[in-house]
Amino acid sequence: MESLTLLFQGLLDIFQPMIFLCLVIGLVIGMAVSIMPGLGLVMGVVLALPFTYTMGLKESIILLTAIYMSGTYAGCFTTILYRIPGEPMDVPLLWDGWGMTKRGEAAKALGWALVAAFTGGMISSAVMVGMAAPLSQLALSFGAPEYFAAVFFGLTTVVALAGNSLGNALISLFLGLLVSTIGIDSTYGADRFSFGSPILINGVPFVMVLVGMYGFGEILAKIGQGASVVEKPAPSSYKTRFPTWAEMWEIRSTIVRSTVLGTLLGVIPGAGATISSFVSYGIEKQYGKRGSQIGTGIPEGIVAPQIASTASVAGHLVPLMTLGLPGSGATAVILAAFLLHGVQPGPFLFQSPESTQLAYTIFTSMFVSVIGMCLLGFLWIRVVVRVLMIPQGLLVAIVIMFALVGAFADRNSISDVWIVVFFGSLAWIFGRFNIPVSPMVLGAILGPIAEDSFTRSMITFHNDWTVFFRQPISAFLLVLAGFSLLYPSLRSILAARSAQRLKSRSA
Amino acid sequence: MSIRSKVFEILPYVVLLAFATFLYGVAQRFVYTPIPGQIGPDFWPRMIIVLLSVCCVFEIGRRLAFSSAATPAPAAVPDEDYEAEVAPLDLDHEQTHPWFVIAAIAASVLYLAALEWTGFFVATVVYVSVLIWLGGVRRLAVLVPSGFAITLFFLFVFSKVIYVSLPIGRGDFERISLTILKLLGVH
Repeated sequence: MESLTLLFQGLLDIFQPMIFLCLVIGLVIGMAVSIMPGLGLVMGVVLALPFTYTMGLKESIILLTAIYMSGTYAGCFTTILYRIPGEPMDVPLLWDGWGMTKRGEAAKALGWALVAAFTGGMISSAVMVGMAAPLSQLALSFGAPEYFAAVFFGLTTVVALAGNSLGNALISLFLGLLVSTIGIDSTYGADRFSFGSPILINGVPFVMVLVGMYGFGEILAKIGQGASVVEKPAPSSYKTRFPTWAEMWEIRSTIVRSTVLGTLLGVIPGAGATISSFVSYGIEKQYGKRGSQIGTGIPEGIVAPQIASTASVAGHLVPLMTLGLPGSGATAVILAAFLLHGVQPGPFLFQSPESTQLAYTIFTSMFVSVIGMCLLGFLWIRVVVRVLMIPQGLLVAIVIMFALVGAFADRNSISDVWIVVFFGSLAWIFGRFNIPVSPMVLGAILGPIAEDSFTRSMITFHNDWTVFFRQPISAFLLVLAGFSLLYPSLRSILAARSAQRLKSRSA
Repeated sequence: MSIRSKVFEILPYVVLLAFATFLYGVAQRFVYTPIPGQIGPDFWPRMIIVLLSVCCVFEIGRRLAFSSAATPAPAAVPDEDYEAEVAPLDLDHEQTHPWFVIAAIAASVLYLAALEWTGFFVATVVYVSVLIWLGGVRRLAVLVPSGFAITLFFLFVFSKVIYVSLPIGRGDFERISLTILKLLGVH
């Protein structure tokens, strides 16, 4: 009941003109960046960050979460209509979405995507509201070992899910953790790895690493691909035709399965919208009623990935709001926006009436964002897809300028811009050697929390490292972390075995 | 696999290993007041450096032992259908123009170096025009006006809306910047 009152008050807050304007702008930006191949929702959130410096906290967070939310939806337009996935998360939509378009059912495919985004977004937001208060209560009982174990688990999942080589992913992670140690150490006051440079003495702000590696670095990679002209086939229609209730009832198990999966995967740090989308599609293919037909252009192939990717957004906000732990690039930027306004998200956010109301206003904005993005998608699809017509050269220049000037605006420091250029160039070099970027970024973000909780645990428990295994929650999280590290190897062993079995059977 | 390509494959890990060794040495020389029974500020970075070195050694060993560095992909990576469906759409991530990237990095370094002297307006017009050219727009009639338009947009938004004090340069460049800012209504 109290939650409903807080949500209602949040709703009143959201319809204040300035906050509502931020939400709408956020939805439009999110849609624009998710449509453009090569740009992504993380980049959208990163580039919008400088604009939040002069805003209030509510406006800032709502702007960024709206970008994040709508960034998981609009890519479906170009994927279904033009066969151009705006983001990697839209690739599973391509197989069935384009399949339906080829049969002249584009309007129906768009309708399914809209229903999926709406369902996934609304249900997962409701789950988030339900989980926030109990989880924050649980988080209050967390000591340093539990925090360390939670961060450690987050880092291992990122490594496990990051790329083709576990070794490369670990190297990337350790480099990120090392970057986070640069500057004056907070516990002992020692100067570490600054080499006397005034740029490094205050440390490397993780926002600059993010802007560099996701913003500047991705644009460098786009330049490296050369100028590509995307020829768009004329779609039969921009109309959206909704599925009937009976049709939706037929695939109810897909809807439930994908929503649960998307929300749960969202809660796990590192498993972002792309992974949720692919896993959900794969599960549907394997266990769905019409799994064998997935890929031929059936609604389940659109609904499963779209629900999961949108549902993951609310899932990602759970650890951020209740534990103060960002599990993805986008939530790290949202954390940065919180910190810039002097607020630390985490269990204490739910302790005072004012901050609790703030949290619930953000939760309410998620529901409004879902409704808003679906409405915008339904009404303005023709306008939204026009973003594709911006020449790549202009896009490259605009995005790089947003990254550089945005970095400068943070502290009016040219040093920060040098850091962005350095990490952007490093991201491109990483790409050349197949080293994934995301573990390094998350290492730089979570590194200080990991080190601080590790050092505090060691000081409190007199250098007894077994404390991490003696506390039940931290032991459980460390077991999960161990599993997530072993999972890629286990998976490849199992895959090799089943392939061998199939081979011997066919022989 | 030729010796040359093998060397090229292990080179980044050798460089990283050497860098890690250097950092380990630096970490041992951190200046702080030791507190008995506490791990100190060097323990955490040294632990990470050791783990980084182990990974580098593992990758070098793996690449020397096997002819191909490829390992099976973990979960949630698109399967072969991805390649089949997406490759014809020109969405592959092949870096066919690495020199353009190097030129973009060089332009960025020069831009940052020149910013204090030339100011935001002049340096950005040139830099943005170079980026647009590298991004594939080659027509001067589009390139130059776009360079000016984008620069003026950023100058206006960041100076007038977000109140960021962008560099104005020195000497004649300062006069140009101040004139432009005045024309934009920024005081």
